[in-house]
Amino acid sequence: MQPHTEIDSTRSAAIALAERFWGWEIPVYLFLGGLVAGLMLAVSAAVILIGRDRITRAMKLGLLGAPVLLSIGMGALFLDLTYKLHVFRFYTTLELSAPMSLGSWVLLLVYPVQIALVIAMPVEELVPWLDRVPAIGRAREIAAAHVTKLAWAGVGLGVALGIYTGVLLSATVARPLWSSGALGFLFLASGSSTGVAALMFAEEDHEALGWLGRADLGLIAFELAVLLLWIVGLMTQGPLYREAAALLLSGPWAPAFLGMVVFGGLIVPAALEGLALRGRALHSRLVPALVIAGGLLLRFVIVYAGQEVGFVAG
Amino acid sequence: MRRVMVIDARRCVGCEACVVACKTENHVPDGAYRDWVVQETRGEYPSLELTIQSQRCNHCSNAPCVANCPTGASHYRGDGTVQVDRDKCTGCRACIASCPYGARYVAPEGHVEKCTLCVHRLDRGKPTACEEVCPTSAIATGDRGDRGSVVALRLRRGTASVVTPEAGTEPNVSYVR
Amino acid sequence: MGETPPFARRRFLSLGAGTAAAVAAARIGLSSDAEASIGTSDPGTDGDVVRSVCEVCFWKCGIQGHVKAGRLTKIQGSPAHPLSNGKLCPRGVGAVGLAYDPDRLVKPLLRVGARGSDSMKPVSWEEAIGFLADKLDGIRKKHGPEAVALFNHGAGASWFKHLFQAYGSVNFGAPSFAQCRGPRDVAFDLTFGSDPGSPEILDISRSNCVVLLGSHLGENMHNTQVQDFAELCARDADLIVVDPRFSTAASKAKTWLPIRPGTDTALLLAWIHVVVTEGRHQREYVEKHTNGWGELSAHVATFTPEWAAVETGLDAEIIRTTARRIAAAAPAVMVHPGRHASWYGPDDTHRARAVAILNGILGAWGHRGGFFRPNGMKLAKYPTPAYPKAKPPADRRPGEAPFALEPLAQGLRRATIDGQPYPIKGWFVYGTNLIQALPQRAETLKAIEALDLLVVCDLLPAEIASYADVVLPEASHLERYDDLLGVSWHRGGVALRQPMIDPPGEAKPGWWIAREIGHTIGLGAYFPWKDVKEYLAERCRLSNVDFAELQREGIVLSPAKPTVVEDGLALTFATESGKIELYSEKLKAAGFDPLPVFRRQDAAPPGYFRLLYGRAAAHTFGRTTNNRLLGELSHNDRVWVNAKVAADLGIADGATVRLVNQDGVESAPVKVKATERMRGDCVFMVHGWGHTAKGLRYAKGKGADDSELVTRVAVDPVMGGTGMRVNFVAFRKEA
Ligand SMILES: Nc1nc2c(c(=O)[nH]1)N[C@H]1C(S)=C(S)[C@@H](COP(=O)(O)OP(=O)(O)OC[C@H]3O[C@@H](n4cnc5c(=O)[nH]c(N)nc54)[C@H](O)[C@@H]3O)O[C@H]1N2
Ligand SMILES: Nc1nc2c(c(=O)[nH]1)N[C@H]1C(S)=C(S)[C@@H](COP(=O)(O)OP(=O)(O)OC[C@H]3O[C@@H](n4cnc5c(=O)[nH]c(N)nc54)[C@H](O)[C@@H]3O)O[C@H]1N2
Ligand code: SF4
Ligand code: SF4
Ligand code: SF4
Ligand code: SF4
Ligand code: SF4
Ligand SMILES: [Mo]
Repeated sequence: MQPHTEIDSTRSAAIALAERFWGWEIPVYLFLGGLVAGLMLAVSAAVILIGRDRITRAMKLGLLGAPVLLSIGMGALFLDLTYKLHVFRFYTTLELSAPMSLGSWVLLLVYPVQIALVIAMPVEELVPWLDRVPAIGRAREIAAAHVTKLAWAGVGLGVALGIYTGVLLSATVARPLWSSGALGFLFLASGSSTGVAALMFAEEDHEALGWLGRADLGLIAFELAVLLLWIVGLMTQGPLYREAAALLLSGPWAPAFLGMVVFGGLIVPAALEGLALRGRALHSRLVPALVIAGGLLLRFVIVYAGQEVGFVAG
Repeated sequence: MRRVMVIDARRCVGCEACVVACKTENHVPDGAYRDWVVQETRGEYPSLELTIQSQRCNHCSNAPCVANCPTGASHYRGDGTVQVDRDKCTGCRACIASCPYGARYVAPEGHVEKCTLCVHRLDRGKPTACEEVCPTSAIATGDRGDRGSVVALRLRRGTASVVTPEAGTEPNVSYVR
Repeated sequence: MGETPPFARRRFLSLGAGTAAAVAAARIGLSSDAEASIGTSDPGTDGDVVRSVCEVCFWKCGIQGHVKAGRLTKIQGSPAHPLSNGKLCPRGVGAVGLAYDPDRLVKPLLRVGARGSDSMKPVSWEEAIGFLADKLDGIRKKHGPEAVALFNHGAGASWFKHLFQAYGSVNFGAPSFAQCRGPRDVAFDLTFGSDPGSPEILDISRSNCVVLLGSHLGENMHNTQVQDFAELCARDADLIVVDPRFSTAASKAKTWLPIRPGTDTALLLAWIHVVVTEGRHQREYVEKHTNGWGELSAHVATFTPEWAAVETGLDAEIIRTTARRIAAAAPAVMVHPGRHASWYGPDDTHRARAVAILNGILGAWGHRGGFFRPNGMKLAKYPTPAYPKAKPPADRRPGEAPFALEPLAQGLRRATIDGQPYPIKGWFVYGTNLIQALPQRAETLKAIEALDLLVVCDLLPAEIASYADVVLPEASHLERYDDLLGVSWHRGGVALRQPMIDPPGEAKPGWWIAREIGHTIGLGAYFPWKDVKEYLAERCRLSNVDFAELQREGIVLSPAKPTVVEDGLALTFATESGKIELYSEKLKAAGFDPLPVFRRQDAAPPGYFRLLYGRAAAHTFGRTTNNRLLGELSHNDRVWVNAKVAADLGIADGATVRLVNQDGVESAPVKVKATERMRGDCVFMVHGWGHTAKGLRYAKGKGADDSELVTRVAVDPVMGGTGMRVNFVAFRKEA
């Protein structure tokens, strides 16, 4: 038992440490970053594993959507800046110890690879547009010739981007809830599963739906494992970390976390997908919808709850 | 040179003059603080112990706010202090997320601020505003490498403690009894 | 650079002079070493420097203001002033918030609605002064000039004391006597022939043992005293704190004695008993300088620690050992006389006498580490006609409170109500918020009802202003000159209050207001000077003080003379016998106990708790609670309740309650601080919260007002002090 303590602080009046410094923009940014990483990763993996010829229209749409979603995510990050005029400062330096700096540069690399993938494997409707510009035509040829290399780049950048979205939080040190190396893998897993789910959402090819479904199931299992690792890690790190974990397990965030993220966003869709894969149910859009919603909520829960427990009181 | 602040906890009465002096010296916006006073009572009546600490940015030697700043705006200065260059600051608040002590706030202009250890004054040979006002002379700043300085004397006198050492940030603001 | 040396000197001295040079050199070295200055926001210390004197409380520290483009950016302690030594308390620094308080009074106001309705209309100074001059004239014609009373607090009141003495009244009451220092001043005056004064002549920093009864130094933020207190703590000297509450000072003490409230006299008598029976007094000093040792010895024979233990709730053995520790430190010892001493009425002068006697037999008076003899400076008066002879004050009935040193504020209030010995029909209220400062508010309101004229001169629309017929907005201490301020301390001197910035709106300095009124009511001869600078320059000339230097430095010091025996001071006592009167013939002759006796206080009715009150570091009564700069600081507008008591009553920390006193008076809602730092039989509030005046837009409704609950007082028959810690409260939970 801790002895009885009473704390009075100048700041208890006006600002609480628990005050939220990051609002909706950051979880949205982290979610979209993860989703884009997942899309890129999934399609690139498909190129490598099943060959470019079996890339479906849904996958191509996914490739096309990725830079758009990424831009929306970066827009959210921009909105979050309180000194927007200085946004260019992200690109006048590379801070090796700062995930946010590394992340901004990764994002810059992500765009060209994504564009290259898009023009290498465009959806049909895009082709006439692309062909109008001769330069793009040449670029298409080059991209198409190096599609596998591009896919490997896509895998690498996808993993980097996915992990980055979690490391951004875990590198802060100051928030017990985030102080875990598992967070990078958790967000990679979650990003990948939401990326795959987004593809499932658009997929009409039955066979591809099967692959995607299996992939998603695997990713969900992985994500659950990492989640467990993270929570167990927190529970064993000390009282402060336990307090942080308790926010999710029994505290104010428990309904959202356990009910909506873990159960509604992981276990239910996994079960439904399992049934579908065994032919006991029809593939339905409900599964990817739940996964995507769960992924978004996960970011909100972690970002918000994490701000509620710090190292110092008062 | 390694600038540090050493606070004599036996002297401090928790009056918050340091807070007001800092606010007026540095035009700290309403509702924000660069320093603040924490009073912690332990024990049960009548065996009680009260710890009073005037706290601020710890100018950590291993500062997560610096490590996590994407633009280099948060940086170590040659004198061992941690500073924010407002021209480089984007207001991304990664540093606020990273500071275990809650030492930082967003200024109305959008950049992030915190205790500067009043280097604008130290550089001119004046004490920090909080040190200058403190009626109990609890606060002292100086070069810890200079053996004759008040801070070095205080550090030699007894065991120095820092706020939340578990955070691993290696604070340069310490408290002696 | 220019300001560093004095500051540095002071601090390094405390750590051994040998290091000073090395550190000073190191500090200068910094500038070459350091990088180019970084982009911090504007330093507050640029701009012009004006040296002056603080008035956020009554300690009168030297301050210096930094003014940039007509705006005051910062206040800091004046390094040259011995009461600040370059340092300040939070309230002095925070006065910037007073200067720019948007609720400041900026125009004279005349009442248009009923008294207390707070409906006022702004008028010109001419109209306001014309109105009050007519009223004053009417009162004088009907009742005589003594029918006007001046209630005051603060240095700025001097102009109005002058004005009303010229007018023919000496009915000057201040709540800083009968509601504050009175019992202590009288007791010390009776014992040593002089009182501890303000600032108190305590050599705390060099003491070997300090005993605080109440006296919550560190919360009571009198700047110099707190500086000295910190030196004491840093020296690891003995400190014994007697307080039902674990005060900040108690947390620094070697021994905290959580005494049952109202039993300090028993503890003191037991301490004296131990010192006397064990022969631990300063023999030679007692023989040479005191009267009544025999009577004292006989008197305390039965007051054993065991007896006191029962009364005080303290351990007898600890009472005995603390007495020995106190005696062992003598004569570099002090039992602090306290300042706010009107606690329990009939007990108060006796308690303060017991303090004085204990100090007396330990030789503390006149010795290093005890009570020193301050140095001052003789200042010449500005020559004006003699004052007319005035009737003696109306505050006391024959035989009442014979030892009072000043008129009793509550006595003037009583005379206003019952017209005895003669009627009082006009009040001029300067710098005191009588609604919060005086106990028994119903009486205050009744008296106000009986007035023909109530003038309030204030900075802010405090409660008292809402009852006024005329409200006069004064310039704050940062915006005006005041009369020369004598400094009486280890080094004496004269200090100058002078403006740093312009007053807001049409607010005017007190000297101007008093002079205008004087000229309007035919007392121009008493204000022959054209303006205050002419007045001050002339006084300085007559006193051999260089006015230009005073303006530049804010203070001029006189030569140092010995202040303690060790430095060559010759001890003298201004008592009738020329000695320390342990046994008081004077008290005896007036029918009072010549030696202190203990009277047991009434216990709290079941379910009730004794209401105690005190100060918070960042506030001066109710005068700073509207200051937005200070209002942001720590919560201290809560009522302290013992944690276990709160738990038993089902009141959580932070819960909102109302306090109901023994007479059924209910407080405003107030949050509970459930804390181990309180005894279980009492509660504690910081005085000055719970404003109700609508003009105090920031403070109104914050916390609750202790004075509203002080419906009962115990009057000290010796000097008329109103003991206010005789009220009890219960809790009413708020939904
Ligand atoms: N910050 C700040 N400082 C101030 C002021 C201010 O307004 N603000 N005002 C100034 C003025 S005018 C004055 S008079 C002084 C007053 O300050 P002090 O003279 O120090 O006042 P006290 O009444 O001695 O102190 C209140 C303390 O007495 C304790 N107490 C209550 N009842 C008893 C009792 O029966 N026995 C004992 N031993 N202790 C008891 C309370 O718990 C509390 O801690 O402060 C001065 N300093
Ligand atoms: N219940 C209770 N009653 C108490 C006390 C307590 O602790 N509890 N304390 C007692 C003590 S120790 C004292 S000393 C008295 C103090 O009682 P007061 O002297 O009445 O003190 P304040 O309440 O601060 O009132 C000061 C008023 O003066 C105004 N004022 C401030 N500065 C200036 C100025 O420069 N010029 C003018 N014209 N006005 C100014 C303020 O705005 C405020 O309205 O109260 C006593 N009464
Ligand atoms: S000014 Fe000094 S005594 Fe007051 S709280 Fe700050 S450090 Fe402590
Ligand atoms: S206290 Fe916080 S802001 Fe200051 S250096 Fe350490 S981590 Fe950075
Ligand atoms: S808010 Fe400014 S100082 Fe803080 S991390 Fe972002 S860019 Fe760096
Ligand atoms: S060193 Fe300066 S900036 Fe830091 S808390 Fe003190 S006054 Fe404020
Ligand atoms: S003690 Fe504080 S409020 Fe009082 S005069 Fe000094 S600085 Fe001003
Ligand atoms: Mo007082």
